[in-house]
Amino acid sequence: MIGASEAVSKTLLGLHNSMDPEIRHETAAKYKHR
Amino acid sequence: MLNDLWTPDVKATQLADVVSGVSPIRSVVNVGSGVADLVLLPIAQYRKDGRVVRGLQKGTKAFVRSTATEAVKLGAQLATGTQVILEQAENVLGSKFNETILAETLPHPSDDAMGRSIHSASDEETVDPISRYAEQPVNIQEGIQSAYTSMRRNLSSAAQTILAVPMEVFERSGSEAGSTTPILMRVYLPLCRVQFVLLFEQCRLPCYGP
Repeated sequence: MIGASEAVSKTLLGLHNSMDPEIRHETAAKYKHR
Repeated sequence: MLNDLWTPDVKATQLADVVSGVSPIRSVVNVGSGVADLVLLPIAQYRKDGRVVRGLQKGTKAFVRSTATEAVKLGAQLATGTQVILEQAENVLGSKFNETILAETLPHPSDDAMGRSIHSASDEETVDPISRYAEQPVNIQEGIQSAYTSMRRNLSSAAQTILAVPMEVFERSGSEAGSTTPILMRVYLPLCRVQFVLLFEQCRLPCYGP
């Protein structure tokens, strides 16, 4: 269950980012990097 | 005095930007601007050169695009929220093999943890937690790839837990018979975190027992 929801969220995040490339810069500024 | 001068200016120029920057309102604003595009783009196109169909196409395209983006964003947040809730439920229910599972469901296990050595995998508990939305996959291919990786990691974790329960029972019953088997298992149990194949080895282990 956890794996499935994580997979869905990763896929949707990827889809979201590929639909709107501008968001990438925004999230890069917003969150910490490892 | 200053208040009287400043407040109208702030209201006039800055308030709209600030309000539409708040994330739930922003989604509404994005969808709203999509709807506005649906109506306004055909009108603008008609005024420009009178081609209504072309304007309708452009308006519909903008509308579908913004709506779909918002829907996908909402779906992603919903899925991430579900994941967080499930992981916390797992922690609350507290399985017996907490230490092995915890290493994998930490806030941010890196995706390449599977391939690393046992030592670096155990070091992961010291890593600072960062947001789940950080380091997002940049496009759809990468998203599917990381989805596959996390799915595989979680499946192997689940399989490991399912197999580890009978192992624990076996360990308890066999501890008075022979002292070598529990030690052997302590070695095998962390190993199977790294390599899925070793799980099958662990399956066969009871056959070697006393």
